[in-house]
Amino acid sequence: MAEAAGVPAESLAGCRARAARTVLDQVVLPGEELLLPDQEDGDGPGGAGERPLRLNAAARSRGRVVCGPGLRRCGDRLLVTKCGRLRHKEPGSGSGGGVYWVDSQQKRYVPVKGDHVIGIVTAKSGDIFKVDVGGSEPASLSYLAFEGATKRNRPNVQVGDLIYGQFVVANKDMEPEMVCIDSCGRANGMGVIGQDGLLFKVTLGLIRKLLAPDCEILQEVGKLYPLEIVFGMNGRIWVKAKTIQQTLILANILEACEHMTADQRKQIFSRLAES
Amino acid sequence: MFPEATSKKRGPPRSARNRGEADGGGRTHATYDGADAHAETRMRGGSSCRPRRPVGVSMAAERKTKLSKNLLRMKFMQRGLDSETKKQLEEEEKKIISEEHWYLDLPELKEKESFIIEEQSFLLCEDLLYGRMSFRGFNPEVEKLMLQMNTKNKAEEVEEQTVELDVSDEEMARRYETLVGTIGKKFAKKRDRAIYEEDENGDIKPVKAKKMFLKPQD
Repeated sequence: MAEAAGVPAESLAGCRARAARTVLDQVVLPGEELLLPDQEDGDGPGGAGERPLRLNAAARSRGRVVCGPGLRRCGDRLLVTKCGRLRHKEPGSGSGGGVYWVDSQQKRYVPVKGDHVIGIVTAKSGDIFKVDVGGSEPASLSYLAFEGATKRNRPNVQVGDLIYGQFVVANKDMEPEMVCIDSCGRANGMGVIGQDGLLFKVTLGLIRKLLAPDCEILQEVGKLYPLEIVFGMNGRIWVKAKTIQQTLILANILEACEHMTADQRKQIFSRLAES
Repeated sequence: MFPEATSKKRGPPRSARNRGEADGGGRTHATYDGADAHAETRMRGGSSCRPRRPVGVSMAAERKTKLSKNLLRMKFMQRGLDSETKKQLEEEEKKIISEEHWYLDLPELKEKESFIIEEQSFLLCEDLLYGRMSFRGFNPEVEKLMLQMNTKNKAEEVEEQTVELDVSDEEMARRYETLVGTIGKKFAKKRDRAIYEEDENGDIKPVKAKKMFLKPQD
């Protein structure tokens, strides 16, 4: 047993860091190191004199590479910290060297600056509201962070209300802070979410899948009946339709579509359209 | 060093010493070597009840050496000094201050330029749609928002708005020139209104130099 366990460990320790290009869309595990495209010679930026001409010579004059969620910088390489598939996005307007990230799955949300989330107001103390966003701490929301709010004109927010807002401060050292206005002072759809409806929780990966630009699920759902949906990046979805039954059907579909194949989904939608 | 200094010498009574010259009186009792300084010390001992005399440079010179450094650094003591001694004093002070500063004895480290930026947000990675959605007219405001926010993501709209000029630039400059004067007159105090007096022709007179308070120099 000890020998069998020893062999794979050696092989893992013995393998060098792989090039990021070769591992795209494959599963990576935490602890792996990835080389960026212009370091594949093995020497690194040390031997700057002769460099073999490459087809993608443009890669040498890259700007900054962004390492996204699931990756960390480790010297000149990327270190994987979450298990999942490695993804890459080319730079759109020529700035920088593109983005690398790991597409992983988790249920627990960690507040990130700039994310739009749905929160539940849990307490009102003085000038701030405490909002539960599913993280380790409740976020604080100032009463002035609403559109058109002044000291005299306070927003109408009660304990138990749902708030759609974004984070302005979110790091591991401080309590997260959120606001319901953008940098220009306009609401842009943020603020208190209306009456009725249903709030339920899903995994973070499903939210991103549903919010992708080419998502078929939402297009099919939208054809069923009039409805309204709000997606929070913290895994919370709020839905509302005309009757309670329709709302519940919608909630069930969204929860279940994570594990269904496209065919099963189409079957369900066709059955619903008939009834 | 001078054992005789401790012993009391009997001399003529104080009143006798006061009369006449102190120097002569002191010197007659100076039976030991290096007399002058000690004669003067003895004289000083008796001078507390005497009226002050214009003693001479020697006494003042001796006093100067016994003044403290802080006192000498004060401004009124430095007025009499030359500029050179002033500079020397300044340099000494600067030296003292800079020696008190702490510094690390490390070799210079070069910062490595890093090409990699860490971001924890998914917004950069994937183009996600706006989070609020409404279908088939359930909430018209949200549907408007959807169009607005999603087109903002796709392409940035560049609108060029040309502002039509009602008034030409030259005329604007001319009007503004006189405007400054008229508005300025309104807010000027009575004293300053003299500046805005106009000649017969209607031109503004040149500004006279105001009398300002001059700080006395040392």
